[in-house]
Amino acid sequence: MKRRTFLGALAATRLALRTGRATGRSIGAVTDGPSLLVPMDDAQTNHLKAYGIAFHAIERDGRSEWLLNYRGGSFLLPDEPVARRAAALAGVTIEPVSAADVVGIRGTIEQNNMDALPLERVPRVAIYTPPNAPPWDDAVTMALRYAEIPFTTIWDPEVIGGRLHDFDWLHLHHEDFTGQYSKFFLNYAGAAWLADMVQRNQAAARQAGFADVPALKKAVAERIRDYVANGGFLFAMCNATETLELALAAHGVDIAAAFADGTPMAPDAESRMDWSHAMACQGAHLETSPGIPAFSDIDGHQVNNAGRRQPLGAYELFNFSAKIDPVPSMLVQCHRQVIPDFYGLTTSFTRRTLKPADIILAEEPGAPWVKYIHGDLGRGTWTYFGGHDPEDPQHQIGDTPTDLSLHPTSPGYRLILNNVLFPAAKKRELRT
Amino acid sequence: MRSRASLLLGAALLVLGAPLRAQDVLARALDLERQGRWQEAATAWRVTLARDPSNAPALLGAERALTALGQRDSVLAMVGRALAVDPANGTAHSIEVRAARAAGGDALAAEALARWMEAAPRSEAPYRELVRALLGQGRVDDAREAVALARRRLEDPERMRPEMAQVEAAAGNWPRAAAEWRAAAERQQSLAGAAIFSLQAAPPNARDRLLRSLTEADSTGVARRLAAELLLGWNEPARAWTLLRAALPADAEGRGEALRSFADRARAQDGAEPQHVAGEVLEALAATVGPLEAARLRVESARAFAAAGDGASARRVLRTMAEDPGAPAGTTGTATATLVELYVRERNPAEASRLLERSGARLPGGEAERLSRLVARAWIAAGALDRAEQAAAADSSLAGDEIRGWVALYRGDLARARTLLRTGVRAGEGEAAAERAATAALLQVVGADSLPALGAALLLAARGDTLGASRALAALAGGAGGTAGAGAGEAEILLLAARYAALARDTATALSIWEDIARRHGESSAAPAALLGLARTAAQRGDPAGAAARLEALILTYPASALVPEARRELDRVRGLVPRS
Repeated sequence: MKRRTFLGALAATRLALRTGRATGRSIGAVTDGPSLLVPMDDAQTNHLKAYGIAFHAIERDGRSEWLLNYRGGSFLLPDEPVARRAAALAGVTIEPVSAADVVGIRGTIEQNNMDALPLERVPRVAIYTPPNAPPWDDAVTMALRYAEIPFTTIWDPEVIGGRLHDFDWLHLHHEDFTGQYSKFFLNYAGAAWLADMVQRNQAAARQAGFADVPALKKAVAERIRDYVANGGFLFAMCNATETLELALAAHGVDIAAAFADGTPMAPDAESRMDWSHAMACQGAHLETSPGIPAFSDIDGHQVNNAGRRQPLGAYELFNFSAKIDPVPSMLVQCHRQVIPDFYGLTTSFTRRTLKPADIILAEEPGAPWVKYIHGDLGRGTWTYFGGHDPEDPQHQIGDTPTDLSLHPTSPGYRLILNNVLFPAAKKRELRT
Repeated sequence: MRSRASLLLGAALLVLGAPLRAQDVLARALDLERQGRWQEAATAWRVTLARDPSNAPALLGAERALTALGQRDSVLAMVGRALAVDPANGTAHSIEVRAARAAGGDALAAEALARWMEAAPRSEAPYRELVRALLGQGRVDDAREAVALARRRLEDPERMRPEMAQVEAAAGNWPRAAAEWRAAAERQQSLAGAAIFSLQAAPPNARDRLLRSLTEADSTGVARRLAAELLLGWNEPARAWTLLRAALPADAEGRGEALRSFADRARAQDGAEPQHVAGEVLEALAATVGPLEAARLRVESARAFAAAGDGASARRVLRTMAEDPGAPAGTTGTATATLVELYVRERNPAEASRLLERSGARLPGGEAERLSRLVARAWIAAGALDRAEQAAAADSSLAGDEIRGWVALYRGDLARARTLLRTGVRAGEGEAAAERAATAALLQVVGADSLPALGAALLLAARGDTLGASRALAALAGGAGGTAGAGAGEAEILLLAARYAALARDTATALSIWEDIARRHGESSAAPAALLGLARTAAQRGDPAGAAARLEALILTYPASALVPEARRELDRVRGLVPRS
């Protein structure tokens, strides 16, 4: 379901829900008969799997609700044996509630900064990842697997082949869209995994008819931009965020080092960047050294840039008005307001390089960077979350993979899963 | 607002400049950088440079801050002032080159380099900067040309050896890279570390040729030691030690340093061969130092031999120390303790006891008791309960009670065991504590005060005969029903029998017992544990569906069981939802 679909239904839905509430009946919502409340505050023992329970409930009969800001962003599901069984197996806390209880909940929601959003149809999810990527190296893949939310993996051939439009939601992780292999080329020379990455990318470029990998990645970035502009939901983490912005802004200029395309970065590259073509960022300064695994000053933390590396702090989620700004509200539903930060090749986004229309979802107060941002492009939206793995703050290449069964209440991973469910919501008009 | 604040700060720094020490200003500027307050940091660096235009840390700080502000070219004015004071200032020139490259690419950088070369005609520094930049761009042939140019201009073919070595390494010419590093390290031994770091990256098929260029007939000790360190890094410790032994420095200090570093690296590697080599190296090192240091090194050497599985060498080293009448008490004490531990590990309690009786008086009180308990456990493992009791007789601690508790258990005196093991639960941690707690829980379920058959079965397990223990426990449970005295504990005894069968790799028996528990003792607390055992075995046998069915049954049938969280984790693993740990 693309964004335009539920944009079209927004006014009618809101009116219908309000009418339904007044008469004790609701359209597209769970109100008749007993229901299951999935609390998402500290009463919940497995927040991450709760998203899977909600996802499959929507998939079964499309009658579920997301109670924004109510007990940590709870879900209201039809009371079915299959849902109870799944919750018991997953260790997800559920609370059976009567029709009268639901009326009470709705009253509380009506009187506070809360709202009930109907969740109608599950999104078709695609994860952009190379075919040989281990599943444990991408926070979103891990979160979806753990929550048992189905997804399809795609890579350059599928994107170039026009398959993006088969999906409602696309996730990008630590791909380097500047085509410079995350600039590990010099520091990890000789490493088998790097050789494999280079070979695979070069083969993909040749197969798709591009002169080199940077050219291929620029084309992929363009397709992703088109996908968003045409109503797709994009969620990106780590350096996919920053490099996607750079690749889009560099559509007419060579910003890749010689090891990637045989020619050094254009001497005047920075002045020729076209930031009007980027989605979230503007006016960034490029990292010109091919030996430093950093791309620009979009990232505030510069984890691999010895002279500029910044320490980790904590980021704070913004409070939005659930009734007026449902989209950002959905994206920040969490049982924690302040969350410890975590590094990635791109950890954060400097305020200076953000476009004025960007919505900041989470920031480190007082710091010159923010953590989590969102915005619109055409008929779609993009959301960027800095960092690699919310439960591995100092992630290094070759680290033991994160086992989410040891972090079932992870607030950072919750933010990722908010993004997956957000396209399922029957959306009302944005007033942001 | 921010620019106003930075102006105010700048003014304050200028006003207060006199009383502030230069180090304070530097620290303040660095602190501002750490906070990301680049504008203020740049101001602070400017203040420092106004007083001392060629201050290298301030020049570098200004470069960082201005780059972060997108004003990198502003640093050029400061560079100009630094060079006016000190025309050959390497830091200033290198900043100028980088700023020029960022602003105008290679052409401007080349001009800056040319100025640097002219200002410092005898310096290698500008050429190094050039080579580094070219290598960074992957232009290996150009980098080689740059080294050749430097050598011509500096009129010395021996210059820039490390740079040429890196050029050759980047080109994959490993023997030539080794030859360059060899020449560089022979001239300046402090470069050996850099040489090892660089050459260690050679692929396996290039290593022999590389080593040959370091160990040619005319090679010096420096080159041979480089080869030895490389071999050690490539996990060939024995070959490395042979090479090092023949190439040790003549002076005592250098010799000691080489041996110490080599031993440390070998000790850090896994496997018997590196550990054995470490033992040999440490023993050789001990012969070159004073008595106290030698004792410490010999104990370390014995531990390395023991870790390599060479008990004979370990004992030889330790016995010499323990029996040396002239050695200080601390030395003989350490050697005695290590030797007792070694005998215990080798399942030789008789020798451990003899040594402890003979030399125990020379050990500190706490240490003697700790070793006595180790010996007592070794006697238990040998089935000699009287000797175990005797070994712990003088130990009145809780840990001593625990030993007596185990002895009582194995004799079938469950009442005494119940009391002593319950007391002992307060001491210790980890696996032993878990075993003790599980046994104490079993004793609570089995109501009898005396059950010699249970003690005998558990003693078999303590002696390593888990298969025999499993059979004896199954027989005991089968004949229970009150006659054998196990009573209500039948399911728990069966569970233990299954566990020992699984440990003995008798999977069929373990499965049969678990199935029996699940079928006949569904109400007992052993039932969820049996289901977990069945699920894990199914998963190990490549039957994730079977495993998942068992785990789901456990979670849904016994929601209050303490095993449910573990069952959920196991379910995630068999479904491939989390990585296998």
